Amino acid sequence: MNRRRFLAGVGAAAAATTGYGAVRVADVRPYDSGVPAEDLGADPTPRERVLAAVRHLFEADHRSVTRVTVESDWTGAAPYRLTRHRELHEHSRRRHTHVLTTFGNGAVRLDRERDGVDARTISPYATINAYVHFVDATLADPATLPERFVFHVDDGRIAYDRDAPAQAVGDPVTVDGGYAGTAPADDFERPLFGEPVRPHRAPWTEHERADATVTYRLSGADAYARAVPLPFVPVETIHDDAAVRATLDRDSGRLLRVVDDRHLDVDVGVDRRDVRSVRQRLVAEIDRYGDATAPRPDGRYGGSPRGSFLGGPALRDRLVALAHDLGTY
Amino acid sequence: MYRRTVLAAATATLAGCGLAPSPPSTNGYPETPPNAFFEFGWDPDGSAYVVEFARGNRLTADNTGALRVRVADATPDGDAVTTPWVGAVDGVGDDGSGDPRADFPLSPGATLRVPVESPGPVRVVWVAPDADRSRAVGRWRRESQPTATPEGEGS
Repeated sequence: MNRRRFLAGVGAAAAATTGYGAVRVADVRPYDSGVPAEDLGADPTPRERVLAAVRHLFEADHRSVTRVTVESDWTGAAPYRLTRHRELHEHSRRRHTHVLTTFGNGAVRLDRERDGVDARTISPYATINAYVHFVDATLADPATLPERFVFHVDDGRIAYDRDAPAQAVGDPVTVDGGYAGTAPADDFERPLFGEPVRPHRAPWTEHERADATVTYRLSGADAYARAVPLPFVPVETIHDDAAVRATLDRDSGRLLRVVDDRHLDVDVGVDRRDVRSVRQRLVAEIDRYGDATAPRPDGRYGGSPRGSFLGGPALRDRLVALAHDLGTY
Repeated sequence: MYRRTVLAAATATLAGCGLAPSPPSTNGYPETPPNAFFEFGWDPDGSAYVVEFARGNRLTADNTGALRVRVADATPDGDAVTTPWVGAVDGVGDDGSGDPRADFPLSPGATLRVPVESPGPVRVVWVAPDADRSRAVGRWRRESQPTATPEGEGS
């Protein structure tokens, strides 16, 4: 009797432990991220509403697509399409996927052939991975554009493709072959997307109100300098017509759209003495709150289909992720 | 005996694991470093640079490890001089340049005088709170200032 009870207890403990581990490893963690409106006081200011909506992007699963157009520059070729950045953030499972596409490099290439230019000058991206992609693209042969870069971050590893196949915004994210791989990553818990608006103290004003949405606007050099991240741009001057518009859902307070009208004088010279004016429009559309998913992109990684359990980096990375999950969560 | 062993093992196995999985949090916001833009001047009477924090985000201990002004060729021997403006990061920049000249928070409008023997190129360097990265957030050369080129006029 005692032996049977003991064995039953051991079995139950083993089952509970296995189940608990499986839940953790599978990242099953139901949660309700709420909506920004629930966290605000009785009469929040436009600035508080916007910041709450941006902060919400760090906890709610969502999709964001940012398109950047150069409205004017010194080449005479403007306006032209510069970049598109699709982001899938599945915070509930700590998975994040980025697809970056750079369509043009005319301005940088023009000056590079003449006397050199700093490729960071007109980078619209705010993260180091995106910056590396942008520099690659701006130095590439124009005939090879657009250049596409996919990277995916989850527990303990990053998967990437520096020469990803063409893919539409609505398509599943894919990788393909020789420039695709995986690697362990230490900093994988960061969403790695760079918020469209930083915490700041500048005032926003109501710009437009519709049945379901409200749009707030911030403008002027001082306010713009506080609100918009510009980490890789050597800015000499921010013009007073630089402005940001943020459109929120009136009920939930969620961020739906950000339009960043950027007007800067930037130092493009390799000797840091060559200042030019450039206007860019960055339009970010955010949707699929609560149901966006960010699975590991399908396709070939370094010649191995989606990484094999039998060898190669995939097994190593999976073990790293498993150990991290069990050890941390 | 066996039961105690099993219970001890199970306790050790589950130690450190919360009963509920941790949900996503907003602790990562903001992800980008603060913006900081600077204006520069040269005081020939005092043989010093005057650096003004012209606009940007307020710099605090949460978003900034240190802010330094570095002047190259600042001595007749061609040595650089680094002046800590605000903050300090353990084990980084311990070059004997003294204590920071200001305390957190540092807000736009703040100025710093940097006496030097020779007015070489000057840079303002921001260091992250964890000292894991740094970048130049302002640059200036006294002897040759840039001239803006209007849009649409190729050069």
